[in-house]
Amino acid sequence: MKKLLIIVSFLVSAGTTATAQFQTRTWINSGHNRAVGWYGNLDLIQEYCIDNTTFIAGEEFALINADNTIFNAGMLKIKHHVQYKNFEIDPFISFQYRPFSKYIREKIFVFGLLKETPHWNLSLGNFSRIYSLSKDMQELYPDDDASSVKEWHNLLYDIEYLFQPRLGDKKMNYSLGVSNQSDFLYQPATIPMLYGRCWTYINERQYVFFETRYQTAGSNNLQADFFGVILKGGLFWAL
Amino acid sequence: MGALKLILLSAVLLLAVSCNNDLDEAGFLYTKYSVEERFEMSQNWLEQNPPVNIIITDSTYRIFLFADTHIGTSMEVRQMLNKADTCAVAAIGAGDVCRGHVESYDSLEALVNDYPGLPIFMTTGNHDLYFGNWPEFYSRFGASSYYFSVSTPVASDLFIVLDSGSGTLGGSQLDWLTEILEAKRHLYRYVTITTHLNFFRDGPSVICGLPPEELYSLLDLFMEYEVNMVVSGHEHHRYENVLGPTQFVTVEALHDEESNSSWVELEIGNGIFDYQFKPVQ
Repeated sequence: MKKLLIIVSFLVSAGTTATAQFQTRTWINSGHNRAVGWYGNLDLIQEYCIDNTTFIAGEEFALINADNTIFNAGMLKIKHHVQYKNFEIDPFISFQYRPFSKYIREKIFVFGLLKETPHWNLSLGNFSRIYSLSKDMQELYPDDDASSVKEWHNLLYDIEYLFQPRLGDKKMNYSLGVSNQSDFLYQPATIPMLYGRCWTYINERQYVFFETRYQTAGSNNLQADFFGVILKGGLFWAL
Repeated sequence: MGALKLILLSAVLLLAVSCNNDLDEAGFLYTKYSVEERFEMSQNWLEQNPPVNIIITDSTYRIFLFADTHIGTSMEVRQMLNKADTCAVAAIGAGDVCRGHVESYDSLEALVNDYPGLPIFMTTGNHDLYFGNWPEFYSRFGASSYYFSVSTPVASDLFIVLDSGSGTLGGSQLDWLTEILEAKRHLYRYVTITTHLNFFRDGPSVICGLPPEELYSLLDLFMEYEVNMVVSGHEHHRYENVLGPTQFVTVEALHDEESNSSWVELEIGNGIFDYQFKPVQ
């Protein structure tokens, strides 16, 4: 605790700027092929930014049809803004934990790059997905080979076009994009989601958003079948 | 301007791929017969054709599993079937058995008819559904989701065959699978599931898998009911993974035009549940 106070004191005295943001996102996800008819989730995400580094923690709670427990998933992310002459980019790393079954856990490790321009958000990276047995199951199946399955290489992408320039009058903006990732959901690269977002500022510090995503099962090299639609709404609150 | 070039380049690439008459480009966007429709038709078929029970007098037996034969030509699959005909109680094809053309189905049916003494079970992969030709599969071979059993003097084993040709099992098929496992798992010694889509991969791929949300449900189900083995194809690549009680095997293509062709021989007996990849000679 003392060390933390020293670090905080040092940062404050060094003239760093810090901002914080709180985000809530509530979403439902439905489709005719779903294992569970539909899901309703509440995401809570906290961001804390010190100078060029942003620390993000997120939790997803099941409101309806939980996979396993009410706690669906948890996430930690660090993003750092890098500027070299006129070129700016944000490398990021992330970890997610999802106890989707009483027997199995999913762990996801992510690294990537985010490039923001006035009209585009472009992300590219890799995520590793590891399915591992819960502690109880590991005792039942102690063989190392049976305790986990590791998928090291998965492409992560997110391409989003903003119809109004990012640094506009901060009233309303909307966008279209394609990605295989949405907050706590990581799909294989070959199952993209098309999405549209719309957000509007309530005041200088708060804005609300609405987002919809279209999911198929299959698509590349498959007979694609409709899978689901995700509807999201939420509030961003800069503190 | 850059975006326009990218779109034009993508269109040219798509056209180049389209020159391959084995690809059904419409399938990138939709399935003519959805998995729900196919499942309903399969259930109707099963009402007229109750599940097969293969009764054998030996306590140990072999089942051959194969995938992605893409018939066309059938030299390699014949090599496997010739052997199966002498020493296996059945063979199971995990989808993409043909290329979806009516002529491919004709060749496949003729091949199956050449082995009247060998039960050959099959399900659909994406290629079998191309060109809207699911009715060709259905009219010749019947259901794409079903189960059968093998009974020895010692115990019985359950084999479940699932249709994942559209990239998903669909809600109804998943419910059916859950009901089968819940009602019957305790009656059988070993349970083996065969479907086209592979569950795991180790490396980047341009091939589609199951949506993760569906995978979560299936993995949970396999753990709950201690499914012993899941065999699939689709990637034309060999993967072997174990998670708890379940051995996941992705078998290479048994396709004349590809190298590294193989099939899987599963040996089951009293205290024996063992598999081996058998390369084509």
